[in-house]
Amino acid sequence: MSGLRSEFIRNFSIIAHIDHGKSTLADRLIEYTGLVESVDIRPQLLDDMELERERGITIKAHAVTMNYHRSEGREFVLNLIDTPGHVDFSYEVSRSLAACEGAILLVDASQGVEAQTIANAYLALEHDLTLIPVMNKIDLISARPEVVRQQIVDLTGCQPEEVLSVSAKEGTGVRYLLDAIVDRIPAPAPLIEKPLQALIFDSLFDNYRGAIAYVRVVSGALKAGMNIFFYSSGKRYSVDEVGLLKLKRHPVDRLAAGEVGYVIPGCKEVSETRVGDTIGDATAAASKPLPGYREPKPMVYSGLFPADAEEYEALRDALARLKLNDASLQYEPETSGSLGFGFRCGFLGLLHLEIVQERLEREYGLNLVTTVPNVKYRITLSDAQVVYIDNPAHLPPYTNIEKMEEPIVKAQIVTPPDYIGPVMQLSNERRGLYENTEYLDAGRTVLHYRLPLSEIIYDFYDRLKSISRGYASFDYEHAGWEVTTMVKLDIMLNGELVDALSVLVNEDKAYAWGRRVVDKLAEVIPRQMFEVAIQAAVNSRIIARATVRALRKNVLAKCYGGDVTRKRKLLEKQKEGKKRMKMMGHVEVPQEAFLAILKSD
Amino acid sequence: MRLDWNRSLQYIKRMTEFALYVHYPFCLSRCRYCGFASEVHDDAKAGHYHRALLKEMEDQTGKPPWCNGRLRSIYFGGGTPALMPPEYLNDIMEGVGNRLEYPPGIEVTLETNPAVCNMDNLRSFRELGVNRLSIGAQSFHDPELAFLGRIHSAADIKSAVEQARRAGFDNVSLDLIYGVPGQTVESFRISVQRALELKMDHLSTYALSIEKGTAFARLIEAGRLPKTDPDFTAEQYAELCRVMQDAGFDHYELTNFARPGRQSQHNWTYWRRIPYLGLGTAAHSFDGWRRCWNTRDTAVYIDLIYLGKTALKDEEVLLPEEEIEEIIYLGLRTMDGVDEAVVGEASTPETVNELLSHGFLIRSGGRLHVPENKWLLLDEIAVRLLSKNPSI
Repeated sequence: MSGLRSEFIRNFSIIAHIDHGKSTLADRLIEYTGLVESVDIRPQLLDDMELERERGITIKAHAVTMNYHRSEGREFVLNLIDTPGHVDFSYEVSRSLAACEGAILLVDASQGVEAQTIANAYLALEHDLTLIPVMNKIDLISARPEVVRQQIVDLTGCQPEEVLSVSAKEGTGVRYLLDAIVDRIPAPAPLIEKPLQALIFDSLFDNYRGAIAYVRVVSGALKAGMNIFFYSSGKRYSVDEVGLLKLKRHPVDRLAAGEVGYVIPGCKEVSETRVGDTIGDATAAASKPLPGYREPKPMVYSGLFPADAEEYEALRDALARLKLNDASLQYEPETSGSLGFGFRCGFLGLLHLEIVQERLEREYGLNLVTTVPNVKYRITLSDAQVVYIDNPAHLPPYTNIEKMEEPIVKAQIVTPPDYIGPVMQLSNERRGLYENTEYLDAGRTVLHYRLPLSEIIYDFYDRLKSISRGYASFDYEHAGWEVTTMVKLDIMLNGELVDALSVLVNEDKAYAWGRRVVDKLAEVIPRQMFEVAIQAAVNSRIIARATVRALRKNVLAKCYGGDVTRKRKLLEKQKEGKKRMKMMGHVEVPQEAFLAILKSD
Repeated sequence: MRLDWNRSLQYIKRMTEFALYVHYPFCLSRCRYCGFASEVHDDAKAGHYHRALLKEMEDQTGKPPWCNGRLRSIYFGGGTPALMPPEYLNDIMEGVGNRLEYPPGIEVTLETNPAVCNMDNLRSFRELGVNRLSIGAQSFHDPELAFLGRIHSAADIKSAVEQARRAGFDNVSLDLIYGVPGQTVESFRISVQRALELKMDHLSTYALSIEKGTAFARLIEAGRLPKTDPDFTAEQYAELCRVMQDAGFDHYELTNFARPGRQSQHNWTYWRRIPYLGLGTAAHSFDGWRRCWNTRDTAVYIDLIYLGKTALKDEEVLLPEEEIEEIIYLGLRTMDGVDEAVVGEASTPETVNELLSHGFLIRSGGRLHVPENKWLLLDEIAVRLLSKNPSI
């Protein structure tokens, strides 16, 4: 097939709060349209990565093309473009939505509207998408269809009867939903005669084929063999192959305006096929790219060091390979006095950091030490020069700093009214600036806050969940810079500065952070042959201190000598244990120390 | 297993002298902390075991490398080898005498429990050639003894030592245990002093370690017994060292003290990596190259030996670098320390200097030692030395 008339095409996403059943619904649509037999179905068909299935989240966007016979007999092509389900990947979400004409707004019929539902609904409306509101999990005893329907009406301004009810798990209502997709979502504009414009909404790297871009052809057509170019880099390629995404890649001659599929341009790096970029026809007269392209912008920075110095090269190679598949990952070499050679890496968010770290450890067998993540600060120096700092070690002397600014987010926190008090308290602790409260209904309140990004990258989400018994949810978008005063908090072990433990922390929070870190370190640093003094300092002034007493006994003091083997094995075990230690200021620090500092109590 | 026959042959040819260890696994009752291979005495089983032991001795001493060597000491350990009928001990000593060469007067030690000592068996053992008695005193406080599950009293220890002297033993060693929950530094010091009052020649000490499968391990797991506290143990050890030094004993190894001239020859075989042949349940052997050990199950041991097999459970051969590490580790357990040149093969001068400068090692006469007040940190010190880590 190809060159289908656009009036028979529907392009849509499913947007939902985490755990509201997005992947299950996608599975059901795929099954219903006959793409796979239900017996073959494994849950989360679209989630390829082992990590995605394990964590139950979608990290990468995916797409699938399905054929659907509307009751009167016409066959439609439905392109489902899945979106990543985490705020770290909100730019990727926006590109996926830009590739669609409509979206299914999926809401759990017992949980109701959550923060991500709101954020995604706004995002969809910003992209002028037609929303199909759908309540999922109506089979649950705890389902509250009337309440949740009203929430959806209040949120989207739709009519109550427009809200569909499904049970993705049981398949109830899926047929009506498919009909609604065909009936309500507009067909793509028929722009086949215009010059080629194709939007890249995802890309991946294939070991055999190189970079593969997932695209929505907006105008013109993409054909195998044609010469294309990428607007962001201006680089030209000849197309190896184009095709449809039907769980597996399915080559076709061309993809015409309105269609969704993949293109293999024969480039070796995924960074050439950037999400949000536009593909144009290299031979046609200059035209404009589609709007909305943005360079991937890391928000969170952290040092990644190999636990074993000899694994530096392996880490470098692994990062290079990961980068092939993840253009948003940024890294550059970093040297730490205490951790040796490693990399300063930029991530979209903390989840992205965790995913990269886990993939490096799992897929590449590396053993890593990760330093405390921080955001990037904008600093105006006395001579009016502006610098960006993403590493505490690079903070200029305070006397040279005229102004320091930090990234701010606009956050929506959805909570039952019972937890407004604790949520506000938490937000205040995190230097949040309250803006206003919205009442969705009797059971749901939205608190709007401006929060420093640095305050939410550690454990804000976990704390929010724990103070609200899991009921509150949270989403945010970036909202520029605000003036702040951050100080560099240093940690010293027996008087020696351990640069890998330094953090930038708000002036008002330095004492609390210092206290917490020295106490945590005192817990995780094992007793050693001498006393270990742990000190936190700001500007060389000690603000917190803890002590690990000297070890007094570590030997098997038994009489029977013949069993030398046991003694030696015990010693070897200890030698092995030391390998998981880092020497810092002559003190052995277990790798877990870095992790422990990150965890809240 | 890493086989290196050239190295093996060298050791076999080089075998000149070795120690003999004979294990007797039976006790009158099991102590609550004991993780050694031991079980409650049973006459019939002891008879089978004895015959198996004689057969294993016959098998082993008849072939290389043992047939090429000369005996330097004999040690009857357990269990409670003093529970052996003197005829059994006679059989073994006769067997040894018939098969192996040894110079007159070598050290022959027998472990005993104060509860099983009497003039009759002590005299018999002495006549059969045992010249050193190691008495498992453990403590001189009756409540501590009861808590440990010992079947004797403090008074029994005194009488055992006196009887041993009368039976002609001029070399008597006592064992004491510390790091016991409920014990204090003071109560342990008193036990040490009571031992000194009995004018023992040698003292072996045992820092209680909780071994899997013991009554103590189960009590700790159930939360009914506090875990052993290494700081408290270290305080007791410091006190022990002080008292023993005042009494004029040589602290010749981490756990062993002796009056001048009374260091245990058999003990030294382990620390100096002199070969030893172990017979019986769970006994370890070392021929200078290969270390192997017998099954811990007495019934299995008996069956295997009767069937004409070895009772070997497992074995290991060290790589040359592992061997050097072991020489260092074992050497540092002793007052001899270890040759600095040998340390140089496994560590770096920076590491050695760092440890020296912080007092974790001392140097004298081309040898390195761990000072007495740092001995309890030996594993920590050895790990740093052997991982060539110059920072402390």
